[in-house]
Amino acid sequence: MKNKAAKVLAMALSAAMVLGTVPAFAEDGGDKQKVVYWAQWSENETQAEVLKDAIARFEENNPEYTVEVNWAGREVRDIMRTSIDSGTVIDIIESGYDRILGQLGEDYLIDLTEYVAGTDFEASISEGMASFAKGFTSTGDSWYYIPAQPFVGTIFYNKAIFREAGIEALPTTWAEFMDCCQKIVDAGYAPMTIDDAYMECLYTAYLGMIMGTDSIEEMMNDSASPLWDDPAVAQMAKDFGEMVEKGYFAEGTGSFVFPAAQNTEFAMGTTAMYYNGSWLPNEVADITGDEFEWGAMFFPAPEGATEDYTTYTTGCQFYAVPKTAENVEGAVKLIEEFTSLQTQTDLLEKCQCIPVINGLELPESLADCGTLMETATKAVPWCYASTISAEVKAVSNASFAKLLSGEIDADGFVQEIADQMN
Amino acid sequence: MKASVRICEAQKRHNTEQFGAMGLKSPIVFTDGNGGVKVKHRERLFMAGYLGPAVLCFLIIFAYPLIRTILMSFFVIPGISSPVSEWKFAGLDNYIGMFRNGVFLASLNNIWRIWLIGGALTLAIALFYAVILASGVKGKKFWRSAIYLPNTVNAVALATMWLQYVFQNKFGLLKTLFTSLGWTSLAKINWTSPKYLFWGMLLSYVFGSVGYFMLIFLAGIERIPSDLYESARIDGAGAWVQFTRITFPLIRDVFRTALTLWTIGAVNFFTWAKMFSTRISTITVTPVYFLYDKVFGGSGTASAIDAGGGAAVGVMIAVIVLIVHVAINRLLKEEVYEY
Repeated sequence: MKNKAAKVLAMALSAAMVLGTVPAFAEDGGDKQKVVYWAQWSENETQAEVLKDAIARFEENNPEYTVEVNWAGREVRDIMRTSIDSGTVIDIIESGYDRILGQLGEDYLIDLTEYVAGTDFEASISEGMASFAKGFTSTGDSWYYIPAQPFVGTIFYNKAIFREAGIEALPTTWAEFMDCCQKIVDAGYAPMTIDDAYMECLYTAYLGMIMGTDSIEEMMNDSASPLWDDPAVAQMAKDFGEMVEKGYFAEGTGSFVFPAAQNTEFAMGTTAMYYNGSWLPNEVADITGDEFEWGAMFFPAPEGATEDYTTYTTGCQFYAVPKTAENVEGAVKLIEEFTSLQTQTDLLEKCQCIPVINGLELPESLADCGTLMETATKAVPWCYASTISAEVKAVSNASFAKLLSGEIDADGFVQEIADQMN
Repeated sequence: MKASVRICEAQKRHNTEQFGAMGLKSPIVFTDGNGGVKVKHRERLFMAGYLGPAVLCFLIIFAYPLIRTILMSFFVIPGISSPVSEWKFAGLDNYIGMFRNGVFLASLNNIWRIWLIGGALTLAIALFYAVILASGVKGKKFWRSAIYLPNTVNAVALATMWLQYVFQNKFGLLKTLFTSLGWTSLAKINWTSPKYLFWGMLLSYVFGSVGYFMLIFLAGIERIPSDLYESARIDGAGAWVQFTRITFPLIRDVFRTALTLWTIGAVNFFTWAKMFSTRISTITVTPVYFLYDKVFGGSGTASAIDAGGGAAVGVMIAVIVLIVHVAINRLLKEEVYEY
């Protein structure tokens, strides 16, 4: 009896297993062409929710296509090149501009210029974004990289604290910045803080204003570069060291492991300024609520600055189509949907993302970022460098953290850098 | 006669199938001097049939990457999956470069401290707990589960809990606890400051590891016959003597295994270092963290990819594990006690 029951059960399970594969065949979509999209978002992120809606619209409007998404998250950067090398079919890859440029570049990607010609995308993309993306190509006028989500590196500030401290004009020079910090201290707030994840942005922003992008690119990729002996390095250490001495950094700065500073200091309204990217308002929206008064400013020009005060750091996530793509036309159509007015509006409203197309008004939290982009006289890459070597970053970050935490002073910083940079 | 041969043949076939299905050797009992070679051949086929998939898997999953990584370590390679035609021979430059590289040397120093100090703390605490639990303490199951609990939590979640709650400088657990006890100097310690970050990381890693090793030791101690302890107690031996003369000598092989496991875990230290420093820093860098940044470009602004250098780091990690393993085997020689 038991044996019979076991046989019946085994047959039922086998049948279920076989039948279970049937929907898979049915879902294969018959004549439908598949577009494979590897996203840099995790499936539970708000951006992914917006893009899912965009994909649904795309599939409805283009019934000949079906979209397969790999919600790979930020780690897509670690696997995209090896996946393409191993022959994995990817029609759209999405990642930070530095990763797409550094790991893929034109050798791996299709020139989409002829596909893009005459599309809604080409008509609506903002000029700034178009020149940013085209500027990285060998011809300077090709569409290898499609802007997905631009961002601005800036000192965010709490307008309410600035108002309370009586600061009427934003600081444009380092001296004015120090005065501004003093007023904030007098008003009973900590002027500034930073998380470990963005420390390199702070010192490269300072040094970049004096030394320019080429020098920062060189020194951040070559620990033996004589540029590390440039007086600007000692000046930077002295100025930040002075900020520490005067109590212009929130207590614990130099010790904050991301996102401690942004969540418990800046978003909670106890610290007035925090260096970050324009994704910040979205990241801390649950903490700040709607009442938070967001401000963003250019980096104050230190003494000896060669760059204009109106220089700002920027970057962008890119979409790109690998040479191994099997459905380029479908990929370009899907990118069109991603950059359409509807999707860009959704990204703006639900995720506070800066749009890549013209004609959309930024929310209050990003209004100042928009002003920076409009009034800037020069845009430079995030951290003033397209790549930063692990060797340099490991030493400079550790020493800068010690400087900000007060463990070493400016002279100690210069000494550590001299000792450890090979 | 013929019928008996047929029966014998049939039985031989049957047994061979039976034994074969069980993955055992074919029944040699049926062989004679002349037929022995034939059965040996069949044995080889059985062995090949059963071992083949495992050997193939080993070759594909372990041997091929191992050999390729060793080869890669002698070349300059732009990407981990770059075709061999793009490799440029560099001889020993990758290795020499690493030993002149301050960050790699810092990573070795960190890993040495993690292995030595973290290992001493983890194994000592784990052994201490195991001895207490094996002594017949009340609520043994509860305590065993409680001590093992951190191992069931994902390392990322555990590290986040330590960073954002336990070590939090204003309202964190340690700050509150030490303040309420009046231990102001301890309460003042900022565990995530550059000065203490490494020690904070090590402390939390030890916390997350003790339970695992406690279970290993406990399993070793529980197999020691209780009459040995009874006899020792009758002879007047105290707890310390029982531990040093009975428990520790009889779990020596377990200790050796635990030490090897700790070494492998410590040398491959990555998640905790990554969690305690969002961007690579000499304070917490370990060889695997350094390797990750070299091969994949790291976090934040990407670093230029150096797959050959990363491969050299990988080979050196493997060599370190081998050296430590050999040293452990030499120092803690296997001694078989019968009990």
